[in-house]
Amino acid sequence: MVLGYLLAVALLALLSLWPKLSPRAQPIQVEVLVEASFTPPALEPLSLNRASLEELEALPGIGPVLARRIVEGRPYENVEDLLKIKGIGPATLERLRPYVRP
Amino acid sequence: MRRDLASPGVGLGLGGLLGALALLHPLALVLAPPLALWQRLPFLLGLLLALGRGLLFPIPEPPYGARVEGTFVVQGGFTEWQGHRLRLRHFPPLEDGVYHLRGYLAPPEPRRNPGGFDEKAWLLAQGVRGVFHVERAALLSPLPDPRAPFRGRLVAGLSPPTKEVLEGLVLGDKEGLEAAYPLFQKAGLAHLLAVSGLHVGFLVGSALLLFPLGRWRYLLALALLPLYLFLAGPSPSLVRASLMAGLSLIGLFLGLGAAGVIQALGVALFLQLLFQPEALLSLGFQLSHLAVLGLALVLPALRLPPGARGYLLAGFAASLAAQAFLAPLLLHRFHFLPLLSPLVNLVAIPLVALLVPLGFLKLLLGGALALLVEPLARALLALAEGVSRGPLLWWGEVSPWGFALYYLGLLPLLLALYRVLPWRKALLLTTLPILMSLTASLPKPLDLWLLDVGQGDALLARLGGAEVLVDGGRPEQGEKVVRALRALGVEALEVLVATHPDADHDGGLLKVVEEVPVGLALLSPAHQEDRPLVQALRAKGVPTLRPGAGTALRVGKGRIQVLWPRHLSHDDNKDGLALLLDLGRAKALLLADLPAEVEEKLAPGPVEILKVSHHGSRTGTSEALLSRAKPRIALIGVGKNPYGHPHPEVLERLEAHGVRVYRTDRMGAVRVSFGYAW
Repeated sequence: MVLGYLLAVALLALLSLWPKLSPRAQPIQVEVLVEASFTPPALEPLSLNRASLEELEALPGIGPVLARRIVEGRPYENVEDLLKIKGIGPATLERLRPYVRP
Repeated sequence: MRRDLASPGVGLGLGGLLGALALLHPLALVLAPPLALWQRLPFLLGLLLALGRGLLFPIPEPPYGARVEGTFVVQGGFTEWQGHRLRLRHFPPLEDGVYHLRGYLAPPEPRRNPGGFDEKAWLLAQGVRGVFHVERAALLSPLPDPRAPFRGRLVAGLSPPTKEVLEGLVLGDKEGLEAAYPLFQKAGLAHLLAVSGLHVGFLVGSALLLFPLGRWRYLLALALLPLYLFLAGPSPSLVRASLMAGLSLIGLFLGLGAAGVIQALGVALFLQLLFQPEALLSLGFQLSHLAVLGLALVLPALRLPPGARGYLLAGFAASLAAQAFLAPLLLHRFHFLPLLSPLVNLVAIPLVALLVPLGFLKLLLGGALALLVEPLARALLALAEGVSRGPLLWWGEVSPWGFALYYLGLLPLLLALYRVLPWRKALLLTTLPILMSLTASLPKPLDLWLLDVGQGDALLARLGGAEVLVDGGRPEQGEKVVRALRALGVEALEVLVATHPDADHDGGLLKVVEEVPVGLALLSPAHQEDRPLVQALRAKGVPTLRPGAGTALRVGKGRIQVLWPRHLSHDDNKDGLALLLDLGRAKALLLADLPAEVEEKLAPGPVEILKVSHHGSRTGTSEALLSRAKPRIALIGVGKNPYGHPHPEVLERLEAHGVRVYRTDRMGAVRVSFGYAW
C-alpha cells in the first residue's frame, strides 16, 4: 500500500515537473485563451425616420449628440440626406451606409 | 467506516461522478477499472446511467448567429426559445416579465483572461449553451413573483444592510450584497450566504421537534423541503442538502433509520449528475459536495470529550475539516484563503443558528421579529467586517496535478485518523506530496502575458521570479488586471510601469496599486503630480522614477531598458516610455502609443516580439521600424473601438514582413512563453 502511494506521488510529481524540466533551447510558444471568435450577424438596417435615440447611438461613430441631430433632422427620403446634418461628412456616411435605411 | 465506504450509495455516487467527468474529459475513464473493482455493481450502474444520460440527451446547440424576434417569458435573466434555454444579454438586465424581444444568438464567452469569468462553463453547468443578445426589448406585461410576499415579510422592519444580509442568509440571494459580500469572503464566512445543509438542518430540525406528531413529523419535514426549494431557488447546494435530508426522512418514516451521511451524499451526487451531468462544472456544486465529504469523513472518526468542550471542539473540527477539503479549490478559484476562518466560524455559526430559524419565522410573521433580528444581523455583519482584515493566504491557480498531490497528501492523515496508519508514518508520508509540490513550484516561468482589457494595453512580464506590469487598461479594467495577477500567482510586482498618462494605459493601474504591493514604479515624464495614480503611489510609499532613454534595470532573470523619451515634447503620446525587455532567450519591444516619428529614432536592434504602438493605429508601426527590429511576433492590445484600430494598413505591413499577429479582441489574453528559470 505504501509502495503504491509512493509511486502515485512520484508519478504526479513527474507530471507536474515535466514541462519545466525539458532542455534549455525551447522554441518560443504562444498560447491564446480564446480559440474561435464569434462575429455577430450584420445588423438589420435601421430606419432613420423611426429608430429611437438609443438605437441610433448604437450605430458606429454616432454618439448622443449626433443621434439627437439625426432625430431633429427628420424626415429623410434617402440615406444621403444625412449629409445635411452637422457633424456627418462623406466618410461617416459611408461607414453608416450598411446599417441604415430611410 | 470501511463498511460505510463500500455501501451502494457511495458506489452510485462515484459512478455518476466518473460518468459526468468522462463526458467532459473522456480520458477520465482510465479510472473506471480500479474503481469498478472496489465499488462493483453500484459503481458500474452509476457510471452507465450518467454516461447514457449525457450521450443520449446532450444539451442541443442553438443556431449561433441566427436572428430571433418574438414574445418571450423572461425569468431570472433566462428565457426559452424552441427548446433551448438561453441567457439574456441586455443592459440594464431585464426584470422578470413577458417581453417582445429582438436580437441574435451567440455562443457564451469563454474565459478571456487568467482568473477571468468563464461564462461558457458557468452557463453550461446550468444546461445553457446560448446567449440571446437583445437589441430591442419592449415589456408587454410584468411577471408577478409569487415569492414576493414572503420576501416582503422577511425584510419587513429591517435596515438596508441587515435586509441584504438576511436575504442572503435565509434565501441565498446575494444580489443586494454587493459591498458586503467580499467582506464575508475575506472573513471566510461566504458559505453562510449559500443556503445548504446548515439551513436545511434547521428547517428539518424544527419540524422534527413536533414530537406529538409521532412518525408523521418526518413527512411534515419532507414537505417543507420543496417549499424551501421554491422560496430560495434550486441552487446546487440546496438541492444537495434537500436530497440528503429527504433520503434520511424517508428512511426514518419507513422505520429504516436515517441514511448515513456519506451514503446520502453519494446518492445525492448521483441524482444531481443524472439530472444534469454538466452541473459538475458549477463551483457551488463542487464546494457543497466537497465540504460535506470532508465533514462526513472526519467527524465520525473523532473521539471528543463530552460536554461543552466537546461541542466546541466538534465545531472547530467541522470547520477545519471542510476547509481542509476545500482549500485547493478555494485557492484555485478565489486565490485567497482566510486563515482565521475556522475560529471565526465558531462565533458566526451560533449567530446564524439563531438568525436562520428567526428568518424562517419571519417569512411568515413579517415585521414582528425585526427587533430581534436586527441586532443579530448587525453583529454578524460587524464580525465579517472586522475579520475581513485578518490574514489571508494568497495563491495562484492550481494545476490538476497540484489538486491530485494535495488530496494525496490528505489521504495518510485520514488513514491515521481512522487508526489504519500510525500518526508518525502518516505525517512522514504526507510530507512527500508537499515536498513534491514545492519542488514543482521552484522553476519560475519566463513569459509575457498581454491581457485582454478591451481597448487598452496591459502587459505582464514574468521574469523568472520577478514580475513587471506595463500599463493596466482603462480604470474599470483594474479589477480584471488584479484578478489576472492573483490567478497567475503574482503576489507583488517588482516593477510597475505606466508608459504615459492616458486612461486606456494607466487607468487600471490605480486599482493594481491599491491591491498589490509594488517595489518600484516607472512613470513617464508626462505624469503630473496630481494624477490619481501618482498620488496613490505616493500614499503607498512606492518609490517612483521618471526614467529617460539609457536607464536600464535588472529584474529577476531579465533586464528592462528604457529607449525613450530622449527629450521632452510635452505631448503625452510622444513622451511615452519605450521599453526593451530582455528575457534572456528573447527580446520584446514595447512601444506604448508612440508615433512613427519616435519609432524612427529608436535603435532597438533585432527583437522577437513587438508590442505594437497605439493599438495598431496607422500613426505607428512604420516600415522603417519593422525592417530594423525584424519582429516575428506582434502583440496588439485592442478592443471594440470607434477609431478603427488596428488599422488594415498596419496589419498589411506586419503580414508583408512575415510577422504573426496576436490581438486581444479576437484571441483574449495572449501568452508568449520562453520556458522556465530555476
